[in-house]
Amino acid sequence: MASTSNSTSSKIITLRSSDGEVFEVEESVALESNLIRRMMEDDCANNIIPLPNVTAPIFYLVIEHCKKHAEMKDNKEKKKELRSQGEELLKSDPHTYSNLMEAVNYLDIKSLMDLTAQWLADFLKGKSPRLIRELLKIKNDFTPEEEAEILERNRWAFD
Amino acid sequence: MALPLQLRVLFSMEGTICWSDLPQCLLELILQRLSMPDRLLFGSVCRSWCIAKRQCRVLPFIIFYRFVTRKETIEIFSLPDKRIYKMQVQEIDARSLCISTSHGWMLFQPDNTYFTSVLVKNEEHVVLPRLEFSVCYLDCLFFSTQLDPDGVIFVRKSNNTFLLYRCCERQFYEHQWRETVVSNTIFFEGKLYALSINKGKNRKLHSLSDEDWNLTVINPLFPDDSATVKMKLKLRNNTQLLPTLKNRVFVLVESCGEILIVRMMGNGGLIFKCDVFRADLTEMEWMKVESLGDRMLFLSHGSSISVSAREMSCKGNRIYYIPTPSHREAVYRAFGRTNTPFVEFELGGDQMIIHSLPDYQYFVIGCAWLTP
Repeated sequence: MASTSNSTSSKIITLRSSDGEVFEVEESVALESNLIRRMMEDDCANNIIPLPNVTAPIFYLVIEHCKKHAEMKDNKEKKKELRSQGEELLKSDPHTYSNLMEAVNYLDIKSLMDLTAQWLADFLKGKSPRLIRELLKIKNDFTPEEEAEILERNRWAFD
Repeated sequence: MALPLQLRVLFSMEGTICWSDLPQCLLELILQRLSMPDRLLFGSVCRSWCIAKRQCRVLPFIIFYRFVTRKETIEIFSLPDKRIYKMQVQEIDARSLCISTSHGWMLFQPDNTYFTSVLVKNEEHVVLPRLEFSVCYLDCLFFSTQLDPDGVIFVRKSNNTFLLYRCCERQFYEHQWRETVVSNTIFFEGKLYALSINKGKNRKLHSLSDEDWNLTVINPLFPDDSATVKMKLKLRNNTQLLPTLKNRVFVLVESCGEILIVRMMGNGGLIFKCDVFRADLTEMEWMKVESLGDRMLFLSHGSSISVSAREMSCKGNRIYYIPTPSHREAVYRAFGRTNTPFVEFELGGDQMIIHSLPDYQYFVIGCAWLTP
């Protein structure tokens, strides 16, 4: 492992998604993920690192967000750009967004977990449960009785 | 390497994770970023979000009253949102005081002279039998055990007597402590703990070395057999103790599986200093606590809650205390402020911060912490 410490920043890490696609990612980007960091510390880094819970399209998204996030640190424009892209994805393809959140959580990328949660929270603010279900395509799995009970219980907060 | 957006969308799969399968930790990240009304809406979307909302820990609220309240309206100040919410409660009339809260239940005393209490949670309520005494500003506790899954209500009647109400039997029973209890009671690992003090020979001095702080333990199954754990105060050479002041309040609190005692002291009704001791139950000793680390303690004369500051993105090593009505009057006299439900201490610091309700000019009474 001693050789890795003095290598330059352009070291490439090879990863394989659950559907078998192989990715080559710069070490600095890959290390944003605490999961990959732990795997490398456990000396799995000489081989291809398998990511059995992440599919290729989602992993593309994660890498892209990681790179942008690294760039945006001092750059307000980039921050705005990333944010509007996140919002765009949430509106156009909420299913992929939920997979992105799950993948970011699995890869344990703290900064992106906070970002994606914040975008979603901003998106949910002030929307009714019915509208949220419709926009995010969530199935209403309450019985009519349960729903009536919840409505009745929450009524006081909206007076 | 990145695909254009359109292609990516084509690639997105079906039948994998969807919104209702998101793990609890992610849903909590979202919940922590929502205000209270939005959190309620969040919990109404689907079943798994509803469960996440119920399990998500948030800062406690403060329940309080105006001096003259509209009938059946309770006001609640939400610490995370810094906002006041109004809540309609049937069965509660305007003279009721919330005297205790635990596990989302609120215990009300509708009449100042008699204890005809009402237990309220959401829209449910239980009316308790009438008792011929006032329990105002004595502590009450609601807990459940394996043998009493419906719950047991504990009421401290005096420094020596307490009552237990088993919800399944619908009756109060009176029991005695063997010692004189000076603190609130906590439910810890299936037992009820309270603090009792044995004063030494020199009764006039309020000196710590002259006192033994003991823990009085009650097993709810055998409430007549109280046991006393005799504890010694252990001091390291460099331990600095606050001088004991005449006016003191002891609050017991369970924090991270340990019992802490918070000693709050002041002069002339005004509380302004506090220190904390930890019970080492194997060595039967009290150790002075220099820092609470990540913990925030929410205390009042009859209740205590310990919360992780990191989970709430707040500052740790803090104590938030709701003073008793006489202490609040002292705050009013000293600072001329009426809307001050709680004070804040940093353990080891010198300052006490007095918190006011924003944009609120009424005199607040009957404050209590409320955990959702």
